[in-house]
Amino acid sequence: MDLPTPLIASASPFYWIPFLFLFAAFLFALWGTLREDSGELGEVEEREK
Amino acid sequence: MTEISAWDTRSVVRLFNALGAIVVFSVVFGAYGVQFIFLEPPCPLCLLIRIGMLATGLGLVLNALFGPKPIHYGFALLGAIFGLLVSLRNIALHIVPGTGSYGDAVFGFHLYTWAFLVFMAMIVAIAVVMFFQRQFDPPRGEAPKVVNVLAVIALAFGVFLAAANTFTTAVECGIGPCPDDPTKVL
Repeated sequence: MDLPTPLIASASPFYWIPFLFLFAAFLFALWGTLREDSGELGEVEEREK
Repeated sequence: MTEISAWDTRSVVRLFNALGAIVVFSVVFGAYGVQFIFLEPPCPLCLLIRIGMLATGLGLVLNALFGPKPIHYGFALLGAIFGLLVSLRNIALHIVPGTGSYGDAVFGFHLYTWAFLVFMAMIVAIAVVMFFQRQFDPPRGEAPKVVNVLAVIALAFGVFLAAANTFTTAVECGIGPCPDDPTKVL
């Protein structure tokens, strides 16, 4: 008996799209890290002000 | 003036998150090793498992970079639960004797079985780390340098793997469904 095609596999054939979303999310995190005021030190200094 | 090198709960938890992210990214990197060294292209469910791993790693990286937050843990847990369900589905496809398996075993288990164990371990580890309530307190000083360095290394690892998987998956699957039993490595 053939196993049924997994619903999840047939429903979303373009698997590079979620990878692209994740890549964009990682880039967004990188951008946040590179921003001057995003570091913990900046957060602490801002609170102290 | 701010305090320097505070090894408080927050810093220790950030370090653990960075190490956890590096561990899950290493598993995805290992899957690339199997793909290109042993010439075993990933099946559709294997690609979904990689998505779960990268999503889990993203949540952990965000914790490591910006400090632990429930939203980051939530994202990591959703990724891990998604990957757990997909890997369980993959195990269930081959659990009946005579239905074969996908790929070769590595250290006695198939990759999807290893993935199931990794996701299970990640969920338990995240739950245990979340017990430490003081990690959610505001930062008292800048974390030790090693925490920030490991967090950036984990981020760079994640950026590379997400970009590489976007490219190799697009090349493998092209326009249309990914092949159930792929023969093309790239």
